[in-house]
Amino acid sequence: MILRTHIRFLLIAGLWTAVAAPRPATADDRRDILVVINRSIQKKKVSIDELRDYFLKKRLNWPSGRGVVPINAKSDSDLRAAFRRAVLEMTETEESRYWQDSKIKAGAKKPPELGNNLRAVFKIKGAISYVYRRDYKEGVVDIVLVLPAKPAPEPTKSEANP
Amino acid sequence: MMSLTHRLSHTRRASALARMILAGLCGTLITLRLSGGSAETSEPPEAASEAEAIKAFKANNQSKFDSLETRFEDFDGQLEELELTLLESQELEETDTGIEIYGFFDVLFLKAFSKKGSLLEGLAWPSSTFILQNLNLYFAGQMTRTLSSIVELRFTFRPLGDERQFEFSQLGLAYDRLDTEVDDQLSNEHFRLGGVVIERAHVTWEPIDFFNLIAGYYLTPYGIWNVEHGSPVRLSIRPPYMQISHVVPLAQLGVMAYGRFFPAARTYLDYVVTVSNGRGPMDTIMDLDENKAVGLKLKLSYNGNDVKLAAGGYGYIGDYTDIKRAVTSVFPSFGVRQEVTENYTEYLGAFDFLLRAYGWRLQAEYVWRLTRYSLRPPRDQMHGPGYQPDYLSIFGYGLLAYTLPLERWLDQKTITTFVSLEYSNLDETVDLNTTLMPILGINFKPSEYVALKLEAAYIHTIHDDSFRSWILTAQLAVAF
Repeated sequence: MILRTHIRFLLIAGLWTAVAAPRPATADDRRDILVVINRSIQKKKVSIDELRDYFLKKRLNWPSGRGVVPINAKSDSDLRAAFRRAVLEMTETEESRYWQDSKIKAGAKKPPELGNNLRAVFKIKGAISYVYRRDYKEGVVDIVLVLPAKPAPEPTKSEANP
Repeated sequence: MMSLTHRLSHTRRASALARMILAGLCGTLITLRLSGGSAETSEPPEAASEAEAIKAFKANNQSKFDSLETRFEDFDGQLEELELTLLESQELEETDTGIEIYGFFDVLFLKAFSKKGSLLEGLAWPSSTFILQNLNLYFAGQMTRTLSSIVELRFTFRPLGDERQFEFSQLGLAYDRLDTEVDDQLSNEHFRLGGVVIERAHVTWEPIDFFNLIAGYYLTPYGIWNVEHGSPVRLSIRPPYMQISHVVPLAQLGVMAYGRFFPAARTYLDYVVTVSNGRGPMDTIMDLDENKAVGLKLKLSYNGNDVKLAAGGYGYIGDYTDIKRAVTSVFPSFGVRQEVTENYTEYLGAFDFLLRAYGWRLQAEYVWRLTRYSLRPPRDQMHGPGYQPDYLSIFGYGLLAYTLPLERWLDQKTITTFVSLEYSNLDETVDLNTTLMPILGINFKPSEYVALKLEAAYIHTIHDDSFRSWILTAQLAVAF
């Protein structure tokens, strides 16, 4: 009886280890996009819809009232293209048109573009941005959403026409 | 700033503590090594094995210590980098980013084909012509994260060519067209003066999504095309006649409160409250009555993946008052009297609907205005003798557009075809004012900065043949 219990325990433990144990990072994992926020924002999760609102400036404040500071990756980067496709559901031209039209309509300004988003989010209160998992550094900012890596993105303009 | 500095100093303290622990561990290691050395002399065989063990322990842990040391050094380096760019971050957070200047202009080519003998044959211009209709410059400033300003100026060649009076021999009136040509007396060069229209000039304070304020001269938040302002943005060449005839004031001088709520994902409920001088003979200079015009807009929109839907309404009540001032006495004291010469209240309702799905765009706007006089002016000559009665104005249009799925061949360039039907009745007491105008057009956008448009419109009055004309127009609209 005791032996059977032990065997059952070992089987369950083995199964748990197989399922839950951390697996080594694959190349795809390293291309997951982590949406990160400054630690001044008391928020655990951000939905894709909210994220879209923040980056299209349809929503200007965090629930606490602090102003949202969306920070984009460089326009011609792979990261920006992947984010644009996954979150904004736009092409580069569509995004560019959106901001051009918004500027004419109401003087809207597009979010700033920076090379080192992680550093900017760490420094700027209310900031939100995104980085590849491979560029993420533990303990600097909070992760609020993970966008799993998708198959090879369509080439950006700068890549297509170097 | 305080929080970040505090965090940096806290991290530095942690780093120092870690260094102390590291030093302690190294000390222990040295002690172990020394005690191992003394054991070697007293008990040679055991001591040898212990010495081996200690050596292995040291070798094993030394590499760990070295790695920790390196990581701490890296961490210190990162902290220094962060400190160096702190200033840059503050700029992003709170900075006055200066003024941004941009704008748009458009060039038209127009030809009207009017029915022989119709009133429009006389009113419309007989020849084809190029027209520079809009040259708008924007000056946008972002003073702080919540405070911004925008000034939009429209430069125009007008008032050159303004027709002040048609010849009317029965009344002894001569034709009068404005000529703005002046002479530079220094160089003797002749040139024509133009004009500047202030389209909007306001400051915007946006502290929180559900409550923001605008003060100044702002665009009236009604309908679709009055908000989606500017020829590069608008699909068609001409704005709907409801805008051209100013049935709703295009802009108002006053304050505007607005905000947004998020009832569900991708769903927005917007409100706008306007308080302004309203309409008047000189409302952009000053109000001639105490009754401020008030308006309320509500708009519900859904911004889905493939389907975008919006419906809104704007209600407005405002008084128009005109006055004259007359000298009543000179002696023994100087006296001036103000007299109201015209006064009416306008009640306005404007509704808009927009559906975008799978390349299709269906939109409609409808405006209803009741003008109720308390002091009537004499009626306009064209409308007959007597005084102007209360009247109703009704305007509306529906537009259906389709963006052709040509991405494969045109990359991101878009070609959109559209048809629309516009109904206009400025004054329902006058038959002449009721017109219908079907429009067929095409809009090609080779880039986000350029729009090429071509449209054919057929304007005609419903009640008689006095207005019947085809108007062909091409437009190049450029944003810069």
